Amino acid sequence: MAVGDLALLVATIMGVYSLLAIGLNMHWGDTGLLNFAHAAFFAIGAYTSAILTTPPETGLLANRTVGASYPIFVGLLAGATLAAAAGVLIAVTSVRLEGDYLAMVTLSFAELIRLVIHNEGWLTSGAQSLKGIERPLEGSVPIRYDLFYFLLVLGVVAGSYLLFRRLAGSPFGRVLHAVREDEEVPLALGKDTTWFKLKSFGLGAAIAGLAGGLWAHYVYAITPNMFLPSLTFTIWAAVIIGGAGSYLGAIVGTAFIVGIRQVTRFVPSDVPFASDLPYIRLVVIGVLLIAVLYYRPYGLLGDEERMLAGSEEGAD
Amino acid sequence: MTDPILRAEGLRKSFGGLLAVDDATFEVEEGTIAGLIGPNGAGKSTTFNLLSGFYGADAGEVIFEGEHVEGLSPDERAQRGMIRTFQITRELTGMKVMANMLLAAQDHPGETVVGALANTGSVESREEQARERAEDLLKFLELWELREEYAGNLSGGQRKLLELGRALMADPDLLLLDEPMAGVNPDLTDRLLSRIDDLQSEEGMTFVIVEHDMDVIMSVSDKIIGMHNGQVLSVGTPEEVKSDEKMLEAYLGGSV
Ligand SMILES: Nc1ncnc2c1ncn2[C@@H]1O[C@H](COP(=O)(O)OP(=O)(O)OP(=O)(O)O)[C@@H](O)[C@H]1O
Ligand SMILES: [Mg+2]
Repeated sequence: MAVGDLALLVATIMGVYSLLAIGLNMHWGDTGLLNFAHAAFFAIGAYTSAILTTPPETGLLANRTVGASYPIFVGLLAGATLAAAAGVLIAVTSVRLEGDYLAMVTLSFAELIRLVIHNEGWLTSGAQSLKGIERPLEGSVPIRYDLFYFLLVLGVVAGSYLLFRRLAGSPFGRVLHAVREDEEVPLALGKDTTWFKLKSFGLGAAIAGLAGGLWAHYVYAITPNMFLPSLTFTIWAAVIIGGAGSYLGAIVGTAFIVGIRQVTRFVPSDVPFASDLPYIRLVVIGVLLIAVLYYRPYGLLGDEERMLAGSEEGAD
Repeated sequence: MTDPILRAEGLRKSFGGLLAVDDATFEVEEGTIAGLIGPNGAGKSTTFNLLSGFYGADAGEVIFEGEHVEGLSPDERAQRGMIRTFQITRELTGMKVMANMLLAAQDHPGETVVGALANTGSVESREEQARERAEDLLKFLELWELREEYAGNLSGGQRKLLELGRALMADPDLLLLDEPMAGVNPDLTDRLLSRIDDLQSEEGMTFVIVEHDMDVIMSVSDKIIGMHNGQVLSVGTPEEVKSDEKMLEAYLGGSV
């Protein structure tokens, strides 16, 4: 693979994952919700769009009997919508729970979704991959396709960034921030905080669903293994490293994490301990995470003043 | 006497074996200031929590502006015009002073997703209107210079003032204030009291105020509700309650 190809691939992954981080930043950074179901929203978006745009399998080993050939934008839209609906649904059942319980419920929900995808082969191809997912405008763009797709993702990231930042800076975002700080205060001021949390959940899940669709139509084949809880943790790390509450931080944090993971793949194989490389890579990532959080606990682009406000160090 | 804006009827709340509020019944007339007094642990804050819906009552009724509200959630009661403050300040530490104030604006069209994204003229004008009111209140409370400061960086007294300002921002019909003057410097206390007096006489706002400083509460209130051990012991004018034997005993007993 030429360096240019690889750079585009990595940049596209960064873009798709940035969308996930933007959604999670609305949940955690703006609203203080411990959502650990992000990989599931991503999966719902990916599978919904793939199924709606890819006809059923044929032949002897055909597994999936459901499929359609709607245009890709319909699939993307439906994926985002269904992910939002799933987000609202899980929020309805659990958003009244205190933080840690919400984390557990969402994590279990995500695993449940993944198992359903794994087991319902008639719908999803199950453990085999759902293959042959169409790529938008393939063969009809005047530039190389990888570049086109990267620009497409970049455009979606830019649009989402502007949209979510606008929400966060609006009176709507102000109520979300108040929920994050102390839910009883907006409640005492007449805000239906449950409703605001549902909206936050839905919006963040929608963007994760859109990311899933963009992922599916990029990688051509998807499997349940792409949607493990470790993906959710990776996005959490990105949001925290970037600085919870900052949408630019969410993007930078994602680039940082995806970047480290990819860069450590280039260590030549003839160095000492090369066979231990996967472990060394994990150690390197861990050490970098600790270093960032040690020197900038508020994240790369987080608001230090805000984090210190009200704490011992912040009080003067 | 005007009609009662608020009526509590047989309110009861227990925590485990402890009866924190025991069959509390009282009325507050519209456009008046009522002082809620009683020794520590008398059940004053719990009563506020029952009135505002933060605690569900074990028994009893709350009638606000002629309607039963005991089945309503705290936000619904607040939307109807009953706003409470907290004894232990609940400033939103990671939000700036101005944002704390603006949060309290009622019926803000910018608090919907569509409103926030479209940012129409009505959203902007509502926001502008809220800013003007916030500026007025913050200047009065001597917090204007601190408007871009995070609320978590304010002193204890300033936090109390911010909480009061935020409650006033909501433009309530009835304001339940739980020790609004605690920790506020004495010069400002007098100005606060006169502002409360103005709001009552000019805008017809109704107040229920929990306050431990007897001189203050007796001088500002039209009516005093005295509690002890969860029960309403004494209700009347400040003079009546001041000279009520039962109340004196409650305080003496409580301070031993
Ligand atoms: N959430 C709670 N759980 C358990 N007990 C509580 C709770 N809230 C209040 N209590 C108890 O109920 C009783 C009444 O408390 P409350 O806070 O209403 O008193 P108060 O009159 O406001 O006192 P203070 O003047 O000290 O603020 C106290 O004995 C208190 O310990
Ligand atoms: Mg109290």
